[in-house]
Amino acid sequence: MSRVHGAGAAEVHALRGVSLAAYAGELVAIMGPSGSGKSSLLTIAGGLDSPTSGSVTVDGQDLGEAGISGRAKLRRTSIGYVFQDFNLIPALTAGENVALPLELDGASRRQARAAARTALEEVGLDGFADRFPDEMSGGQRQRIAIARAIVGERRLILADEPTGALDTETGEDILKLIRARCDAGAAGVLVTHEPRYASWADRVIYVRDGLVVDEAGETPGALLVDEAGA
Amino acid sequence: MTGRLRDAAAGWRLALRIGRREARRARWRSLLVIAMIALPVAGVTAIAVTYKTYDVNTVEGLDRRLGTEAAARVEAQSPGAVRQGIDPDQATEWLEETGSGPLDAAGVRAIIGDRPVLSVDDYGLDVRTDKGVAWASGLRTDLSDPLAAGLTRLTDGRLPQHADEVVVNAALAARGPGLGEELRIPNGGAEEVRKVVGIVESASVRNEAFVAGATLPESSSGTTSTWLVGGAPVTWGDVEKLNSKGAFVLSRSVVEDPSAAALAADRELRSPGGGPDASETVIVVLIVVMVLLEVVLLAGPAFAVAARRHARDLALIAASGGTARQARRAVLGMAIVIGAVAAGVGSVLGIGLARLLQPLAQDQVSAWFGPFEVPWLQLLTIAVIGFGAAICAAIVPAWIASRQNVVGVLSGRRSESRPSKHSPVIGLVLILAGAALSAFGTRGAYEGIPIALGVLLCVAGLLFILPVLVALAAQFSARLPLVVRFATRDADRHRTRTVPAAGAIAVTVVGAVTLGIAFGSDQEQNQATYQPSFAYGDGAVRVDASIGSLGNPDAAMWQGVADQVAKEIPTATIAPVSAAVFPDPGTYFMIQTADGADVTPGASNGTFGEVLVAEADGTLPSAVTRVLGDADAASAEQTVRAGGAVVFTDGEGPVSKEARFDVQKWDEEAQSEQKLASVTVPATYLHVEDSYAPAYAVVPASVAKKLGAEPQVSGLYLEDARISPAAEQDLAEALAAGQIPTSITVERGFQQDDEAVIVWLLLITLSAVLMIGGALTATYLALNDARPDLATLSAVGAPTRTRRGVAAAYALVIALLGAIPGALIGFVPGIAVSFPLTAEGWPERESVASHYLEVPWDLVGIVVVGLPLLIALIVAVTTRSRLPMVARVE
Repeated sequence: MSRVHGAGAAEVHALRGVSLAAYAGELVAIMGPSGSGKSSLLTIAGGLDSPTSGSVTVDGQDLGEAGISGRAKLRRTSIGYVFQDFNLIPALTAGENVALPLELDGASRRQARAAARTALEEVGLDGFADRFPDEMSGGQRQRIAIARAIVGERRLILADEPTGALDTETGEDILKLIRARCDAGAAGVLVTHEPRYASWADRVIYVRDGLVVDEAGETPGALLVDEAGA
Repeated sequence: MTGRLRDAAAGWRLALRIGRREARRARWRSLLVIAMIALPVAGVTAIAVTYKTYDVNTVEGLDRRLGTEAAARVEAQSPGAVRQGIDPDQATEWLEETGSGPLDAAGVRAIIGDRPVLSVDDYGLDVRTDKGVAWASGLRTDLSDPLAAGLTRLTDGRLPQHADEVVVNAALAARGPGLGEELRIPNGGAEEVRKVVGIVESASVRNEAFVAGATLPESSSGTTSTWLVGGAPVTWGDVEKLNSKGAFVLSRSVVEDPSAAALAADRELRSPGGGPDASETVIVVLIVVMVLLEVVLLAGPAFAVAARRHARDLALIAASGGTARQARRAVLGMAIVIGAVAAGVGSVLGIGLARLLQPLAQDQVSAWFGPFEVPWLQLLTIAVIGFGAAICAAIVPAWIASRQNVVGVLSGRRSESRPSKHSPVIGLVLILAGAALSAFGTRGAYEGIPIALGVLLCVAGLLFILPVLVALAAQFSARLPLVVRFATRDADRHRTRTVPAAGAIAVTVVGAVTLGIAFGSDQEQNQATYQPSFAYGDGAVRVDASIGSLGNPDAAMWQGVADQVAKEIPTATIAPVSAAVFPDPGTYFMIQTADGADVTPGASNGTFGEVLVAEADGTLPSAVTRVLGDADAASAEQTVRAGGAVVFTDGEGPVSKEARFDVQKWDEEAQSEQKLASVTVPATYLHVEDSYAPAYAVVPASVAKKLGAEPQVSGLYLEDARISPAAEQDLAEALAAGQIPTSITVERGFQQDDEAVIVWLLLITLSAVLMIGGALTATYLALNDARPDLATLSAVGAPTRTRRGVAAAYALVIALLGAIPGALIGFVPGIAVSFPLTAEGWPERESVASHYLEVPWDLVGIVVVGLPLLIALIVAVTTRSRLPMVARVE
């Protein structure tokens, strides 16, 4: 797929014919310098933006054909997002933030709360449901964001620099959580520029100027060390 | 010292620069605040300019009173000496009466030398129009005299040259007597006819009918002797000489350039009571404070948002060594810039508006406006108040900005502190004090000032309690639907933005509910104490006393009137009503029981006369039978047939079977009552409730004659005269111009006056505008603030309508947070003011309660439920549904 912003002299090619697949149980890391198109790739994959040409298929459904409300529905039920700056809603408690996709999808309050509790337990924050985000540390907030991304039966987790605002140790914990979710059967796409986090992935894709320039398979760590050394 | 001053100036210079840039950066928000302050400033400015232009001072008004040529206007009023200030209309004193008559023209000439003198007379007179008879302002003078120049301006035709010619103004011409037509002037029993030869505009009268000519009939109240005097300027010395002969003088030269002596006399004689009294001052101050408060509260949220947006910058400044004062100034700097622009824009807009709307305003009043005038000092005050409102609106946000938790802000943690524990206590104390003051005011002490102050205290208390109410609402929102929960919690997180917006709405609602209760109670009292003149649906035609007596109309003339009425109201049964009329108008009578107890009812509408006369066959007038029960009517008629009287009384039913009628007259020479006749007859006493007695008594013709009175038709009683008010108006004008000028009244029961409806609509409209304004402002500021949250909602898959839902919920929450407490508080002064407002008046009657209270639940419902829902709907419809994208937010 390709994505072009603007037109004429102001035309910017964010993505130029990128092709990428992430399978169930697999975590794919995307690396590349700033402005290379990593985040564009992720927003298009999540249906927040549409490609200028090409198509995106999630769980067998074409996002372009799904329409705006169909894509929103997919984000509530199948796709979970994790952002660098957490993007929690400060007016809602941790539990309500996690339950948000389900509540928006029309689930009963009790169902949504129960699912949220399960997700919070999974990220190790049981007992934090009634706290507000600004009463928590950065690491805790990112765990809440992850809980929100995995609540319900999400099949695809998209994480945009989820460790960017965290210290190394906390970042490792967060990656562990994402890895565990993928091991449990979800597909994961992780945008990062830290090789140590990318090493948690099954595959690493290197993007530059809107193009996939390299891809590492079974042992991505070795390739990354080479890259870093080069 | 100068160094310190320089430092302070430098500090403010920086603050102003930051303020200017911030204001420009957040252009829409700045424009919003500028509009909020500039619009009220413009409105008040326009009113001030229009009033100043309308208000004509003595110098400006000279030409209206003197014309363009005369040197002075001399008015001979008193046979004795008088004194005056510069303008005799504003400062005069009558000295001892000497007994000789007022000056005449020759006398005036004798004092001020042989000058041209023109007699002018301003007075009111009746003229005939197409519809009937109307009052007109008359000017009796020779308009062709050079001294009369400028008193009128000819727009069509010519000025009168002969004795039977007059000119009229456009307002009168439009109602009938146009150019070239005849003007009929009722004068005594006859009518005088003049020919209209020109259309003029009077220098002093507008819109009202005006007629001028040298030979208009003399005023019924006698003419005053007034002259315009030409020639050389009339000096203060001349004025004093004329004063000593009982004449007042308006001299052009004295007014334009008063001498020291004239100024001294003016100071001495000018009545001191011109200033407003205490209660007026308090009311004006109350209105100014309320308007200021409303503006401050409406503009407050915008500054709160600005300060919050600015919070990170301020925290960074603090982290790099900035002081709290510098942080405060940075926010205040913006208020100064915006306030100054708003005040300037408002003033200019207001002046322009006044100039633009001057013709429209001129149409509303009958006096000519003076030259366009701008009261600069007042406008400066208004502008300063507007500027002050901006500063006041920014004070709380600035104070909060200077005390923010720097670490919290920089790490993105919660920056709004919990509401103070003291504020609800202070609020409650203020509300209780306000309630106590209002309760004190219920007894009508100090002309309602305590109640007015009570309103202020209650409103202030409410503002202190609101933060707690907002926090409570957030706590209780856990079980509410997502969008409402989100809006309520967000409102609580941004209390500096929410509280002033909800406060603005609360202040509006307090005002609306207070006025609503006051007004409703007043109407309730009017309705409850309404006294019908006749049975419902009936009417009466009587001689119109205001048009003047035309002698005694005979039965044939009344038949003419009856035919005229019958033609217009075919359903009505028309019967003449006779009353006992004494030939000597100075005669009066008393009705007593045989043993001398007074039985006259406290109130009688006496439409047809105090004592009515039954028909020759003993039939009672329908005006009486219509309000009596069958039994009463039968026994009354029996008494009258037997030569007795029916007497109405509202006292305890007298047991007497007789009534004594004493006819009396005040004897001027003997200085005592003189009894002319006394008749005692058998009587039936009919007890009437205080509401209505058709007359004092009904007697047969024989008794009336014994009393020395003549039975005479005094009007027509109309049974079932059900016609529309418009038809009644038409008939009234036709009757007024009839052979006997008569007027018609139809009893329709209590009618809500139009004014009441207009006040009602105004109250609701004003509340709606202010509530919608406050809620919309706060909602859009909140939506703008919540963009990251809305983007997050979008990212986790919120349907597109969610944004609308959130926006509507914001509006609803803010409107309800203001409206509900506002309505509750509004009851306090509303109920309080209903006491002095509906206190028992005159006449004191049994059925009149000492207090009326009517809560206008429809208004309360509209304000508390209807308007918040309407506002939510407006917001839902006007909000874009598209959610912002995460990637574009930062």
